[in-house]
Amino acid sequence: MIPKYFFDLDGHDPDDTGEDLTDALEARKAAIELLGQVLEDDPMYALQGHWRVTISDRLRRQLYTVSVVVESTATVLGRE
Amino acid sequence: MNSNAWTRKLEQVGALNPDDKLLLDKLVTPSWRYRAEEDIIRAGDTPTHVNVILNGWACRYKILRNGQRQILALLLPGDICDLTVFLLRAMDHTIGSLTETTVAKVSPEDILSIIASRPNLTQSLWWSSLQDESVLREWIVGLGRRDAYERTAHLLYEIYLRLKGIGLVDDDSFSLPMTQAQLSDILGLTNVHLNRVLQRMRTENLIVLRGKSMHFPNVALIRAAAAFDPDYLHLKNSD
Repeated sequence: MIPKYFFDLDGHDPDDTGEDLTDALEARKAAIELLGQVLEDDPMYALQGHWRVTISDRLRRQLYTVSVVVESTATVLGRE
Repeated sequence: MNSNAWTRKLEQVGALNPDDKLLLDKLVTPSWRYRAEEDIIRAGDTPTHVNVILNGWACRYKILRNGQRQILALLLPGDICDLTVFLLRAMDHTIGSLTETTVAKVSPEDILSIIASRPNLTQSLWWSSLQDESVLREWIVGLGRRDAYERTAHLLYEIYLRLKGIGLVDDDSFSLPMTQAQLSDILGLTNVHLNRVLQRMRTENLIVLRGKSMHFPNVALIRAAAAFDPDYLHLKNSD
């Protein structure tokens, strides 16, 4: 049986269809690509706090979390 | 492209005489500018003017108790929201911008004057309202009976035809200035599901989506994927 994985974007509806992928590592790769596409589509997405994808297996057990973190550097801002 | 979007939209059903075109040019000035995701008129507000989209994209929407948004209609340049809305005591939905949008606000007096004295223009305006209703019917069919793939293809192809009618498609390419989250709110899909559908369409060479620019490498292919019948748009010359 091909494993199914679910990708839940923080702040959005849970993934209701899932995706058939070879294994958890493929799922992790898919999650990274997904978050990249979402951020490219809407760069403000990361600043709205919705910057995390949680990968679960078909039993909804959480396997990985892929995050994008936006950090400000105080010293750089101070110089501007 | 010299005429405003409203004129270009109405001329899809038949040529307007120069006097009518001059009047429309007058009615769209002045105009109001809205930021992206800004409400133009909210549910519960009393409508006092007819909003006409001149530039940018807007939508009709409702928010559910759980905070989810359902977009009920996409309002593109030239679209009227709605011709006789001033007859209503209060709005039953919200009209909001999706992108930076420019809107003309036409007074009820001007609309009623057109109806009383300009039969040609009035017929074009009525056609525009009828098209809105038929698009809504088609969206109900999509939400009820089309699977995610066909529903998405159908929406994209509809947008393509509506924009083509007002001169905003170039070589089967057009601007799609919406986020996937906004598209999800139209299609009733999760963001993740829509992302998968778009990926599949890319793989099958139905679409090329670069940033906010959409291109159909083979228009017949996406039309077939959508099982699209353009009759519901009631265009004089549909694709």
